[in-house]
Order: sequence, then structure tokens, then C-alpha cells
Amino acid sequence: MHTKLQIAMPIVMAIVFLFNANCGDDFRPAGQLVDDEAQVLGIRAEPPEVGGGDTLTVDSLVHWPQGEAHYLWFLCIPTNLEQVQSCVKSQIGDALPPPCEGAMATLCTAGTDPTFTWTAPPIPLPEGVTEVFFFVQQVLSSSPDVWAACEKAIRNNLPTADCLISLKTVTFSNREIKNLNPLISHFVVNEAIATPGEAVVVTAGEKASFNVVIDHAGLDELTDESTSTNFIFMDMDFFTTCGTLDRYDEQWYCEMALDGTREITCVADDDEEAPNNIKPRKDWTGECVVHAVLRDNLGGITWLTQELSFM
Amino acid sequence: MAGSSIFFFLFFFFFLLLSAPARAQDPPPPADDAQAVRARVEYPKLVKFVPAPYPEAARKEKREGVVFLSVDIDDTGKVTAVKVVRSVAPDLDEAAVAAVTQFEFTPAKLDGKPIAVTVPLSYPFKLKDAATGAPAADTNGKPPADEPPPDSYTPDPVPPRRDFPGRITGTLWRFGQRTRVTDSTVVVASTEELPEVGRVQKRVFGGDDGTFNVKNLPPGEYEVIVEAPGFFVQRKTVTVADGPRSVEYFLKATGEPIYITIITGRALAREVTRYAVRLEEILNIPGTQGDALRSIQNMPGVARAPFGLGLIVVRGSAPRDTRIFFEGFEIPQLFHFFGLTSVINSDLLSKIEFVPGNFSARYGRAMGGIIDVSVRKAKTDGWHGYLDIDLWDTAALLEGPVGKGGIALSVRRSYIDSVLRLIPGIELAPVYYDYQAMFDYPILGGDFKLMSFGADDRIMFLEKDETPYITISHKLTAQYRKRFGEDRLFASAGVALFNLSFLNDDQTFRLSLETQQAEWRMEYLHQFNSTLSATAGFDGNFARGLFSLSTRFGGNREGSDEGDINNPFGDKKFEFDGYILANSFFTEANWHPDKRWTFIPGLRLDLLRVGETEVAMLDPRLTVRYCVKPDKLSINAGVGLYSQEMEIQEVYQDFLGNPRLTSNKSLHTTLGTTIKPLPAVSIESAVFYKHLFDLVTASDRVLMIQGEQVRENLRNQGYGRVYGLELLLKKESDALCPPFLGMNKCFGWLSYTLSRSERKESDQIDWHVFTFDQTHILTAIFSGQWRNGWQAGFRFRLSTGIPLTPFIGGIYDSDSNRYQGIQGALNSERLPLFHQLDIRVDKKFEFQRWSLTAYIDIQNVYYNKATEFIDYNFNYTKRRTIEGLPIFPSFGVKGEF
Repeated sequence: MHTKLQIAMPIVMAIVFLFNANCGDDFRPAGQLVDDEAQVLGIRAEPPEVGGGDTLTVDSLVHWPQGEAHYLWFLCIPTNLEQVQSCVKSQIGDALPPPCEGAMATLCTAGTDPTFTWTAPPIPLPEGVTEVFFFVQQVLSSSPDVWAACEKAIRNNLPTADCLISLKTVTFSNREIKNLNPLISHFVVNEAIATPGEAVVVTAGEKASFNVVIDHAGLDELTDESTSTNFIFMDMDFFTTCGTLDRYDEQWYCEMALDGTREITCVADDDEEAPNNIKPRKDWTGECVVHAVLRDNLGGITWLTQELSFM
Repeated sequence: MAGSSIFFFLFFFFFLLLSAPARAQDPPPPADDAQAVRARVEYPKLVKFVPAPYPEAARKEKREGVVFLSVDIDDTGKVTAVKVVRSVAPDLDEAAVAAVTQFEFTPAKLDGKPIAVTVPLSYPFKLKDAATGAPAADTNGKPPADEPPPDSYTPDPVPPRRDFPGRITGTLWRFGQRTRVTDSTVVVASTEELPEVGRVQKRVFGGDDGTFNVKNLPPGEYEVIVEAPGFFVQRKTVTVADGPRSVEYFLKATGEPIYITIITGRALAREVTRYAVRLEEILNIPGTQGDALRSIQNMPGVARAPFGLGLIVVRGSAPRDTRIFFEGFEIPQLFHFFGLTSVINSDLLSKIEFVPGNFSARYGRAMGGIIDVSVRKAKTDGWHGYLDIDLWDTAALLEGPVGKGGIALSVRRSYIDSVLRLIPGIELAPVYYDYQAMFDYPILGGDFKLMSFGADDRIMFLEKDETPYITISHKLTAQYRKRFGEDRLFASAGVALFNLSFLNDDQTFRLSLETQQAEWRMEYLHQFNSTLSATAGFDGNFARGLFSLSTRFGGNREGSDEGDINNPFGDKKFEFDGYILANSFFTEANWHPDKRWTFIPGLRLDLLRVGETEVAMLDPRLTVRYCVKPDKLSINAGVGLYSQEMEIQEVYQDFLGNPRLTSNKSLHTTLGTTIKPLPAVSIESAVFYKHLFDLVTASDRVLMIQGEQVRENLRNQGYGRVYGLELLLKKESDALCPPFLGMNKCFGWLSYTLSRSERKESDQIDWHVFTFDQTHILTAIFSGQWRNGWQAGFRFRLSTGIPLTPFIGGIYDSDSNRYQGIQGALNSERLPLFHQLDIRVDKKFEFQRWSLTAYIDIQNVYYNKATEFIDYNFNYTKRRTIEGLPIFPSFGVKGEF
């Protein structure tokens, strides 16, 4: 059976790549934000799962170090089993798509501000179908007229240095209990609880350590009894503007006890229980930002930003 | 002898050449191994001897020596050509050639029919005066072993006047290997005048079992002189009383080229191009770590795989388009991880044949080429074995006789993980083992073989001792082959299992494949007359595979379908329980109406059921050969249709497949020539064109089927075209070596391929080069041996970099926090030119009953930082090169008995 080789070889290739991944010049990790490159860190739909008539708010976490970012948002409903990457490209016409108001088009312009809201039309789902998906596409540019500056990039689905393209999937369902975004409670910096929104002062020239605490109230996947399991894996990604981190991503495991207490515990991977260390660039003083972005595996996302002052 | 003061000592012996000419007529399955062919051959016998007059100048200058000759004998027994293989002096060479040209023989016969042969022959010149007195015995009473041939013997031994009970029996062993030496000549001569009978001298020929028996010897002291081709002469003084006397001889090999008899004038291979390799040559090719199967990657038409992985890319075809057969059965994997080493012990192989295109109708379901690997029989002349220890693994082999048959067991286990633990930063390491067991036994006049073989490959996390990736294969086969006169029957059957599983570190992603397979094959070759033979047969297999891919993150919601590929969230589980049933029928004729023309038409019908999809493939094929000059120049041409069914998972809609698919197809055309300017030198060339059509490629169309939207996923819409030139200049192992190197034998080849492979996946995509296309592939190999047990060689490779499709940007996917790379024009870039030099040095130490070989094999000697891969940063805005092997030494020792 040719199947065997066909399946085995990509895996072997991947393993070979892993062997050699540390060869050559190292790349900057995605979590190490720099002053000369803009980067999207996450797009959030609040809530991540909607039903007919529900209102959705979409925003994003963006690192835009120079100038001002200008936004262009699209909503796209796949009409032909398109995937998220190709939805806008395959439906874009000659002009900017119509706004997402009134009669709903399968592709519409949702806004040009950093956030937008949208109310899902009360469309009944076909019988037997519980959920469908639609997509949010964000285009960022330094140009105030994003459409004019990035029309070619949008049509070709090919981002440029000044036209960043990002995507987000939103679930449309008729479930009574819908998925919620997870929540981050707070940072712990140098073993002290940091109050969200307040900068923490740390010693310049020294490493600072931090942890992140997940707010169990956001773990609807566990409290929702319609789910079939009592555990969930979540991904936490870290970003910083002032140096390097020991870890840029962690996998978290949250479990709800089945002994009647329904107590929830969340832990990072075994190897990652130790505090994460931030090592600022040489002679760094002043403000430093650390973003923690948490994702569940159902499209939920949240983030929390902690400011550090190296003095 | 009249007119001459010399006495000659003449010998010639015959070994069949195992390679191309001997097996050319009838390629496998009936394995024409040396023993099998040998049993069918009747060797020529000298009926007229003409002595060579000793050249006067040589006599005066007291020059002596042995001229080694190659003698062509036609099917009437006449000598048609004599060539000097190893010269002594021009005048002695000339005298030997003049004499041997007048020899006459009985014709050699194969299966009772006279055939032309080429035989080795040595003609010694020894001055009689110099022969006075035998070489002195050493203090132990034993004569020196490493001596030139004996000086002289009485031409007509004096017959004993009456019977004597004395006799000398003995066994001849190869020094260091304990294999029996056959085709020996044993001369027993009394060292002094004996009472009543005077001087006694007898000559006998050793048997195929390595023994000899000299009877009717009066009591006395005798010198026993043993001669065998390829070995130094041995002398021993033996005292015979009234009874038998038993002796053992351990003959040291001279290291001279093996004496062979080349059977000429036979029908050639069925295919236009068939590259066969001699195992004794390729086992020591630098860069292969003694792995015979890795040498396939040095053949013309075979592209270099990135990272040196064990992918076989033949004439611009995808690796999966080439089928690899082991004893007639397909094997799921030829190499352990990364192509480190093959899954079959090279020492068990009898031959490797590689057909890059236009292969016989006996094989099918492949659009690329065929690799056919055969094993030898287990040794039956005693128990043998070895232990081979190198940097990566240890292998052991044990074999010997069981009744009339033989048994062989081989095991290999790696410890590369232990080595890699010593290197900082290495987290993963491969662990593997393989085994082969075989049992040969003659049954009902035929040969029965039972074989079991398997391999186990694992990837291990070194710190955790976890094995996230495992492949396991086991196979049990039985085969029977028998000759009925000139007809031949081959039948075989086998069962196999192959399991693969992958589990990630967090145990949240699991992939597994479990397959069971049964295979069968039967074929019969009938010889209608001297010009026409035909083969007919059938083969097939039934394979069942259970494929499962699942994720476990703990987040499925009510109403979520874990098998819905469109749902980007939640746990996933994809499974299919698929099967392939294939029944194939083939027939092929071999018609050579005269000595120049050969026509080989063939037809193959494959009936398959892949899942719920049925496919019928009818492939006609034709090969024509025109022999311009027998044994010197032939022109071959072939054309044929080659179909290959779709992959099993490709017909499952739920697995991104399409049940409406049909087979992939290709049309092969090849025109080739074979030139043999010298007996051991050949030049093979071929130009080829391959047209591929109905290739299964990805489709993004959405079909309306019974009122529902259905992704087409895959479609028979792709095209391909491959054209090129292959050239192989090969020198087989013999004594024609550069004199300044002082080697006693050497071999080498120069292989060059110029080709272009293109694809067009659909009408919307332009023609572009194929992923594995390599315009130039050059391989040069040379290796030679010295008499003192040293062997050294090099391999140089140069090839065009493989194409690659660049990423020109990335779109951020917030759901996964990953960038989706956007690809530029398909295969619009190439990796840089690859070139690498490998060297290997071996030293063999021989002891009486065993030998020890040590080697060092160094790859990438001058440290070319070859780019093997292009890597991108997280958002596809920067890229870097990943380099292949640095200077990579490997060393080991092998003790065998």
C-alpha cells in the first residue's frame, strides 16, 4: 500500500526538520516585538459564538510601533465551502464591499475603526445543523485610506509590509449555552500580584519573573454540562516589547473535579510551571509591556497587558 | 615436451559470473543465483593442448612468470580470441597467446546446449633448471604458503604397480572465512624415490564440497600441493603409512580478480535499461556505510533526495511511483529513518536490479521504476556468521546447514540514541531494529524458501524516554521455484502487517495506521523452441488499512461533529477502514527470430477495487532489441503504458478524497544502447520520454451531487512530462587499474543524468518543473583493493538543487496564532548546486578461521555546506537556509567466521 509511505514521509520530514531547526541564523521569535515591525497579536470577537440577533463586538491587539494604524474590517460568510483564507478573496468585487448593515451580503465591510459591532441576523440554520462559521478579515495599514492602499493585497490575498491581513473565525449557532471568551485574572510579577492596569516597578538590569493567573469564571467549557469532557487545553502566548522571554508560549490544562466539588484547577505544562523570566535588552530602562494572550480551542480569546517599569 | 626445456603448469577454473549476463535471460522470480546457474552449466574441457615455446631471450635472462589470459571460446569449442589480463613480459605474453589460440575445447553447455563462454586461464613460464629442488620447508616442516605456482611436475605420472592402502584426504578452507574452496587441483608427489615404485606423482581435482581424496599411495613422504584460482599455492609435506591420512588446508586469497566465466551470446534483459550491481563492489561504496541498497541512489536516473533521505526518485517520478520488491513482494519501507540504513541486511542479498522505466509486464501498478532485491541462499558448507559493530548499530548474522537445506538469521539493533544523547541540544533520536530469517530446502526437485522479515522504527524523546513515533512491519513469505527442463515455475505467497502511530508530547494528537496484507504471485515460463519463450502469470494482493487521526483537547460542544473537516474548532476524529483488492494478470513473450533481433511484447491487466471504487488498467508494452555486434553493441527500444492506482485514502470523501477517481497513467518510451568495448567495461546510455496523464491532483471545485454541495477534493486532471538522457560508464572489478596506485583490483563508475521533469496539475496551472526535478546528476565512484587487505575509495556527487516554491507572505490566523504562508509561483526557485565527496578506507585482517574488517567512512570530506531546505520566520517575511550534513564520519568493525 502506497499509503504507508505517503503518511510516514511527511512525519519523518517534520522530524528531520526538527533536528535541524536549530541550524542557521536564529529568527526573532514572534513574541519578541520590535520597533520597526508591526504585528497583530490577536483578534477577539465578543462573544466568540453568536446566535441570530446577538450583537458581536470585534477588536484586536496590535503592536504598531510607528505612526498610526488604520483599520478595514470585512465580514465574510462562505457560500461555497470556502475556507477562512479564501473567503474574501473569492467574493470580492470591483469595489469596496457594501457595509454590514441592513440586508446582509455574504461579504460586507464591517468598519474602519479599531473595533466594530455587528448584530447577527436571525437566520435559521438548516435542520440538523447546530453551527456554521463565518469569518472576520482585518486589514491594517498606515495609510488612512486602507482600501485604496491595500486593494491589490486584498484581491491577491497577499499581505505587504504596509497591508497586514489577519483572520478570525466566529461561530454562529443555535445552542442555548454558547462559548465564551476565556479570562485572565491578573499577572504575578516577581511573586507579587499585579493590579491590572497598573505598572509594576522592577529593577533595571535584572531579570523579572512573572506568571499569569487564569480566571476560572471564563471556563464555560467546563461548567457547561453539554460538553462531553471535564478538561480543556488552552494556549497562552506571550509578547514583550523590551527584551526576550524564557517562554513565548505555554499550554495550559484546566480540569474540573468530578467528585462533586466541581473545583477547577489550571496548570501550565509540567515543564513550564516555573515563572517565566523576562530579560530586558541591555541597558533597558523605562516602560516595558508584556502581553498575555489566552485562547481556548473553540475560538475564544482574551488578553491582558501588563506594564513594567525598569528603574 | 619436445622442443622445450620447460614444463608448464596450466590451470583454468570456472566460476559463473552472477551479474547481468548470467541472469539476463530470465529475470526473477526464479533466482538465478550462482549455485543454480552453476548446476546447469557444463564447462569446456581442454582437448588439444599446444605448448608455448619458451622465448630464447627470456630463457637466457631467466625470466619467469604467469601470464593471466581471458579466452573466448565459441559454441563449437574453438578459441576465438585471447586477451592478456595480466602481463609478465611482451615476449612471454606473446608466446602464451600464440599457444592458447591453438587450444581446442569441448564446447561449454548450458542446459545441454552449446554456448559461447569467456574463461580465465593462466599460462606459467618456469625454467626447468630453476626448479631443481622443491622450496625448502620451514622449521615446522611446513612449506611457505604464499608462493608462486609450483615449478614442475612429471607430465605423465608413474602409475603404481600395485594397490596400496595409503591415501591422503583433505578439506580445503578459505583462510579467514572457513568457506570451502572448490575447483582446486591437488598434486601429491613423493619427495624421494620409493621402493618398488620409484617416484610417485598423482593429480586429482577437488570436489564441490571442498574435499579431495588421493588414493593408492605407497608408504612414504609426499609433498601435497594445492592450487585453486584466486588463492596462493599451498604445500605441505605429509607422511603416508598403511592407511588414510587426513589434512586440512586454509588457503589465503591472492586478492586477484575473481576468475569468472562469462556466458556470452545469451538473450539479454527484457527491459531497455536494467542496471544490475555486483554486491561485492557496492558493499564498500563510500558514503553508503556498507549498505548495498543505498547504492541505488547512485544509479543513473535516480535523483538525490534532500537531506539524504531514503527517497527513491526515478526519472522525475514521485517517490511513491516507484515500487520496491523484496523477493517479489513489495516492502513498505526500504530504509530506516532518514535513510540511515536499509531494513534488509546487505550480506543476505544476492542481487539488486534497478529498472528506471519500460519495465516488464511482470510488474505493474507503478509509473516510475522498479527495484527488485533478491536474497541468496543460506550457506550450507558449515556454520558461518558475523558481528558488525559501527557507530549507529550492531548487526549479527548466523547461518548454516539444516539437512539438505540451510537457515540464516540476521538481527540488527541501533544505539544511535545513546550516541545522540552525548550531543547537547539533541532532543529526539531514532531507534530501530530489523530482522530477517530464512530457510531454504530442496523439495520435489525444486527450491522452497520460507522467509520472515521485519523492522521497527521509533523516534524517542531522549529526556523522557518516550516514543511518539513508531512504525512496525512484519512479513512472512513462502516461495517455490522449479525447473521443468527449460520451463520454469515460480509461486509465492505472503502475509504482512504494517503499523504506524504518532502521538505528540501532550498526547493530544494521535495518528495511527494499521494494515494487514496478503499477497500472491505465480508465473510459468515456457520455452516453445529455441527462438520463442513466453511467461504468463498472475499476482495480487489484498490490503486492509484502518486509519485514525484524532485530537483530544477536551472541547467538543453539543452538536459538533468531530468528523467535520470544515469545523475549525473542537476535537477531531477522522477514520477510515479501507481496503484494496488487486488481481493482476500478465503475459510476455520473448521472440528472437535471428541472432540480431529480439522482440518482447507484453500485456498486463490489473483489476482493482480501492474502497468502493473499481478500476481496470490494461497496459500493453513492447521492447525491441537489435544486436549490432554480439556482446559489443546493441540498441534497445521500448514503449509501454504504465498505470498506477490512486492512493487508498484518496477515494474516501470524508478524508478529503474523491470516490470517483480513476488510475494515474504514463507512457514510457526509451531508446538505449549498450557498448562493451572491453570485457569489464561497459557504456550504457538511454534517452527517454515519459508522458504522464490522468494524474490525481487537488481540486477546489464544489460539485452538486444529489442536491448537495460536495467538495471534489481530488480529480484526474494532472499532466506530466519527463525527458532526459542517462549515461553509465562502468568498469567492473578487475585488475585493470591505474598502475601507479599499485592496486590488484578496482572498480568504478561514472553516472550522469540530464533530465527535466514537469507537471501541470490542472488547466488553470501552467507547466512547471516537478518538485524533485534535478537537471544534472553526476556520480563518480572508484574503489580499489591492495593485496595487503587495504581497500580505499571515493564517491563524488554533484546535482542540481531541487526546486522549491517560495513563500511570499503570510496571513495571520488569530484562531491558531499562526501565519498561513502564501506561496509564490510553483517551484519557481531552486536550492543551490549540491556537491559532496565521500571517502572510505577498509582494512581486513585475516586469521585462520575468522577475519576482522575495520573501516572508516567519511561523508562530506571537504565540508560543503549544502543547502537542503529553506526555512521562514513566523510571518514569512524573512528566510534562512538549513544545511545538510557537516563532515560526517562513521566507523566500525566486523568480525566474521
